[in-house]
Amino acid sequence: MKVYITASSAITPQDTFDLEKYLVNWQSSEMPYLVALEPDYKHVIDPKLARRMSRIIKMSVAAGNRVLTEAGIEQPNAIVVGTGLGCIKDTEKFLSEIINEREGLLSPTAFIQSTHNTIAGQLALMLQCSNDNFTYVNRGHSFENALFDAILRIHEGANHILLGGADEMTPQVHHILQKMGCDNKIPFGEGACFFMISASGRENSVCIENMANFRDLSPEEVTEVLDDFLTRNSLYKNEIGALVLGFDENSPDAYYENLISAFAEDIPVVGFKKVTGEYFTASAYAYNLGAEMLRKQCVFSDTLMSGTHQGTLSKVLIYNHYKGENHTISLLSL
Amino acid sequence: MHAKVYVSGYGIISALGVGVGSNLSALQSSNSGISAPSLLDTSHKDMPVGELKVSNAELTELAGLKHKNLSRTALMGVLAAREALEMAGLTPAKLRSASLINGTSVGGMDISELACRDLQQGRNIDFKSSFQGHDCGYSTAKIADTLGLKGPLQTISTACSSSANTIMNAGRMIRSGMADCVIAGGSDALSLFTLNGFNSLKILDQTHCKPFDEERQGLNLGEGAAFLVLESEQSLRNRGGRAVAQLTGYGNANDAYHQTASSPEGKGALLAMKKALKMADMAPGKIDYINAHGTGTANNDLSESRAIKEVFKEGIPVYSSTKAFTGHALGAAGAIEAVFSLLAIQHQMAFPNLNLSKAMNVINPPVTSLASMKIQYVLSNSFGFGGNCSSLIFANIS
Repeated sequence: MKVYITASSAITPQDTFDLEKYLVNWQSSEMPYLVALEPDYKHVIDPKLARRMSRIIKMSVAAGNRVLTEAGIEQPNAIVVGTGLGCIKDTEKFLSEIINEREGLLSPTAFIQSTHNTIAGQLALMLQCSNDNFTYVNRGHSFENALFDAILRIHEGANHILLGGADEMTPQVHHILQKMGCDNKIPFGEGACFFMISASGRENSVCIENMANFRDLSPEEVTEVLDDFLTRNSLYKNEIGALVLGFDENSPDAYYENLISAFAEDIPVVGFKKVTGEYFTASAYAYNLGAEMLRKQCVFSDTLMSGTHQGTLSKVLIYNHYKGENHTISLLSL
Repeated sequence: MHAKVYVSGYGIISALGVGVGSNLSALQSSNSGISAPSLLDTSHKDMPVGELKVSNAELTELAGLKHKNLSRTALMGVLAAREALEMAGLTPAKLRSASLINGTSVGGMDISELACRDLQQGRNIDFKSSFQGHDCGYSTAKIADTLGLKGPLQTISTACSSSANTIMNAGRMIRSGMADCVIAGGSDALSLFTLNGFNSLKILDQTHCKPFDEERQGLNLGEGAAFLVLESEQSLRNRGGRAVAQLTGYGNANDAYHQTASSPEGKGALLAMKKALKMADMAPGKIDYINAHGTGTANNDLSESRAIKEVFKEGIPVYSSTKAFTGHALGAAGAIEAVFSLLAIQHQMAFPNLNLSKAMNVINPPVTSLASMKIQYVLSNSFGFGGNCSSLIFANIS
């Protein structure tokens, strides 16, 4: 079922929040992981409220507010958020207090904010929005759970859904991930991406033509499900103008390589994790990037891994997988 | 025309024991599962909790797993979901296509918090096995892998309404025709994190909780897991399955008042109940029994009572909170109480609200002893942090 991205906003480790500077100057980082470039919040969040918010909440509320303004919607029919680890900084903080104080007298502030649904709850509170409020926490498939929900809600008759994907990284979580042996060629990152998903399009909106999820595929099966997906959407491969993948050319991965090899050699292949780094809800940014590519009719050079872009761009295919367990193929069109 | 949503099986594990049988007999004989913690390694030795008195090693064996360092959230989830599948009699082929929706508030925190303590105290620990199950989605994947579920997976974390929302989502997917068989529920283990969290909020009763009592002092934390098998009529017919009840209504609303406290008038609760009744297309007066959220905190029980009064006016149905049996199992509470609602329908009885000595003066008191009665429709409420309020309506179909 078709839905429309009528507004979109992203805070990532690159310049993506300010649309005029969108991926113009590439930022390099000396950090062991990619840290989000946070905007000056005083223009987007009431400073009194911002003081009490953790980074993941501030990033989410800023991106969420921007989307609401851009779409001109005050009360979305639902607020739906995906997050892999939720408010992990506050979780870490409260856990440290428990350990340090040996379960003694503790301040509840970090505990209150640690709940996974704090992001969606805060947005509801700020908007005084009593409509449905859902939070999905399904590992590297959390944002996709949320997007599926948003599409289902449009199918159920809703008009506008505020949708987001957010995760934050901390030095301690990064340390643990390294010790677990989770380090890979793509550095870890963080960010918050929000969207207004609407039942009908308008000027400058981008259509999500379809989204399909698969579990436990082998690298060989990726091209089969791709062919099925294209057939079901009555599409030829040469109609796809660019691929947006959760891939890095420095990190060999047969799933992505097989999918790329199914297309013509010069198709632009864009790696969205160059911008975000790796985290559970990084794929939310693929939809922001794909939408900006279509709106601006360009491929951002720092994200391009192979191929060349010529002429018009009318369809972008997004593919991401999490550990080979969850796979999502989506088609965006102008 | 939307597809109807039927329940064909359920499973449960709580402080009342492992399985439907032990939970039902405890409910029928007013045996509370609240006790001092003996398995949770806490310094709050006297703080009453709804702890399942089965160790992780025993749970691992019961679940037929060989891993070490598995969270109780995953272990209890596997056991409750397996019981639900067995009751429904799902075939291996059906299992391969069925969806699983799991709800949990803190996922594998019961293991990762211990590892965090070891880490902070400079001990050399096995990082991978200790932390890999921390995130909420891990238990979902573990349940699916253990039980051979190959369909789509979802994990919801909306605090204490998490698993009510999984059942709601199962209903949405079946009604819309996007799924024909969904296993939905939730699991949450007791943890130092939540026990100390609720303690820091000063909303834990130092004695057994007294939901809806004028002198109530707070909640007792609990743990457990429960899952339902939900199917379309078509799915049941195709496989010759039998329904035990119908899910006729559900509603979610946000209180939009405070991150942890409910609004005084219970706006979110009121809206959730009204949405569920509207979807079920029924007058409030047809509800026979409400399994209330009724945590035993001053704030919840007052706002929930006011919301019930606003919805049902003079015709308030028989109601009770079963939290004094199980404690508040957070992300699992909605599914545990959905199973109690199904048991109420199947056995035509309302379960007692324990420990009530002085009723509140907002609405008439809850039922305090086991009541045999005609039960056609049950409303089950679950409310959580972040203002998240959900209501489910189950109907008798026999």
